[in-house]
Amino acid sequence: MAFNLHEGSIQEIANGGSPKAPVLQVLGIKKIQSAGAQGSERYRLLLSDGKHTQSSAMLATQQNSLVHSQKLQQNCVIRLEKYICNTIQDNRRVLIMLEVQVLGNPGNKIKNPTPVNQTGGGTAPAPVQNAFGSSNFGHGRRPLTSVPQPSFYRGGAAHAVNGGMNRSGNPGAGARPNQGAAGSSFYGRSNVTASPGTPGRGKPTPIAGLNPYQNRWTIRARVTNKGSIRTWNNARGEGKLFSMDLLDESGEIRATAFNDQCDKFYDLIEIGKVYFFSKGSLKTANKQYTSIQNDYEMSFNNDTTVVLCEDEADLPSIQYNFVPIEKLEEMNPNTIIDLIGVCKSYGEVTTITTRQTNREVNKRDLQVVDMSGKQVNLTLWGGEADKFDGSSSPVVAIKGARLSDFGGRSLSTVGSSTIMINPDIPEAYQLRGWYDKVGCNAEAQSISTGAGGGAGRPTNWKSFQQVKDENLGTGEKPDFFTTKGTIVFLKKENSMYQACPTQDCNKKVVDLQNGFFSCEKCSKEFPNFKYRMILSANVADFSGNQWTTCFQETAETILGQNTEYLGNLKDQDDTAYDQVFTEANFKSYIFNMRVKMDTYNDESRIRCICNGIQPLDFKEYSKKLINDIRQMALM
Amino acid sequence: MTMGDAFEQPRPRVNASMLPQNIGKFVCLMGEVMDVDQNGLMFAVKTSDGQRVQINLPEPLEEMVAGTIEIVGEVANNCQINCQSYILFGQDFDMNLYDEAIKLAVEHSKFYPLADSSTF
Repeated sequence: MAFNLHEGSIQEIANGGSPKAPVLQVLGIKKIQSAGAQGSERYRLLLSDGKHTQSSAMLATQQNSLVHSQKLQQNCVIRLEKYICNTIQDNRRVLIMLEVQVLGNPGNKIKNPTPVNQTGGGTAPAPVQNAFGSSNFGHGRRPLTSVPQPSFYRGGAAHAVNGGMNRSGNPGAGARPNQGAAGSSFYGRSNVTASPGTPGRGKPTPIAGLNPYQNRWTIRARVTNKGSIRTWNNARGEGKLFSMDLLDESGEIRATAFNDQCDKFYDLIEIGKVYFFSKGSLKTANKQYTSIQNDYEMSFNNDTTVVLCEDEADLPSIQYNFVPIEKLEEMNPNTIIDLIGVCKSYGEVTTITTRQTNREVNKRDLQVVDMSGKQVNLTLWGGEADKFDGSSSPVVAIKGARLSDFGGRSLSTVGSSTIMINPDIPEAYQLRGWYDKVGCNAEAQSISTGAGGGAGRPTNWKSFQQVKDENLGTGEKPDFFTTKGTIVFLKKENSMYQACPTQDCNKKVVDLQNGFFSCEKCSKEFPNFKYRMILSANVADFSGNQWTTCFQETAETILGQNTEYLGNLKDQDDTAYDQVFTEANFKSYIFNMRVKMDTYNDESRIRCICNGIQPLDFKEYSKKLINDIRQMALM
Repeated sequence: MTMGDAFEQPRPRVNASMLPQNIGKFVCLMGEVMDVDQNGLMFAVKTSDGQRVQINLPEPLEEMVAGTIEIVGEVANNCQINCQSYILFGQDFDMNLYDEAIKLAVEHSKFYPLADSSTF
């Protein structure tokens, strides 16, 4: 059987590349027994691609069974499915073989490969065959056996050199959970002084290899998310913390810094940058607060160090685990997930007062669809709500959103969520293509309907006649509907009122007639006020009309001016002020309305409030009409 | 036929495939200007269903025509249009959507009857 080795792949790896699943031959296998070991063994392999050989290749311990069972032997040809290449000092690279597929054994060495020239290597390439047999393994510098081990650096996974293990007196040494791609022990052996870039500790451990049983590690990771500082004050005391997500090629982990470390590191650490982290504490992860896939999470302690890493080229940036919207229905509420979809519609920013803290906070609801054909409501809060621009149906990717059972299933951002608009990732392009061709016309089924009028309803298109015929608003709960309408009358009088100038307080102030205005809510007097708008508009469509009340933002959109300007105009130039209202008349929009029966002094009336308006996108609206006509034709 | 006749009767919106049924009648045709003859007396449009139709003018053009155009005119025997008036739209026009819309109007012509001036 002839085997085709991937010639050139070893040189490519030595140069820093990562060819996919290279086919190589194993020319030699050497067992590395750590001195005084408690059974930890590693295998060092001599690999060939037919052209070059690589002697610094370590088999990841989870693959040891291949050697034990003799599936992997000398001269075997393998496909290296998964591997990591770590750089140790002098720019030498060591290959950690994470996943190996044995393809067969031709029984002899294929061709006549020569040792690969590693870039910038200071050491002379030693003759392969002889060196392999010797304990020096070719480089003459690092005795492999029985030298008392400095407890110097150690890395995450298992084979951490026993010196270190023993010294820390870790009784759990035998059991090695979470075997990452270790190779660390090999390096630990050498009297490695700081290799380029690592702050005095040897080469970094992969995040996947971190576990609570090893404490002396360094990881090199990118900060993909940083939450804001949260403080707490309860019976047990008070404190503050912030959390962040760390990512490297092997995986992700969540890290939290408390109190002193919170202060120390909060300003230092920036999202997107790469740092060396060492000596954090690890414990089992509380998956409730994060969508990060790792059994463990990290806390900073007094010994933790964080050092900026300049060279960050090879670390991936934000990793997502997107869940299709249709799968959300099966998931438990209060899980944290990642999602990507197209924003099909969105509402205006509204302000609500939180029950717990009695603070006012902004929120905005979006309706997001994906290729599963389902739609979900996503709520943005605070600054993200304010700055969101949903025009042109952007692709929205969100990491770390919380799934709730509000209205069935809906999503909300939390302090640690990351939102990206139109991200430069393949899933976004796929969605864009799908939406532009198919998705924009399809009626998505919302999973956020039902209980709770707040977040998430599918668009409920009604004509004004239908609203009356169907008695919308007469029930116990308010009804919501959407319609395309044209403004036919605007009430100019009493459209503005004088409000408290305090940010976020909109209470009408009492004019004390002495140049001061009093706000009852703030219990203060002010020498000034700000104008706020409450605009009564009559909106009509082909079937009828409806009076509705529009608040600040909607009113400003309709009139095309901001309130302050209008306030000044009203006081100064009557004609111009009238003109604004005249010009705003007979414009069409898509209106989102809320109707409810109101009882005032024994009189019941349907009150209609405008929750938001959107400019008419003729193309989109035409598509909707065409769809409606087709559906009606079927009836 | 004088200018203005067209506006005393209904002129249904059509695409190229509907022209044969409308020979001798006035129609409203939308399309994209393709090429204009040097003499300014005729030009071609690509209709909303992708076909090429020739438009003839009673007098030479006095301006440059390009982009989306709406033509009102009479359908000649050879399915060319004798144009009575035209309106130029911009570039941003979704022809596919328009074609869908007029096909629907024909399909459900019961709901989209053609008015004539006597009904006003």
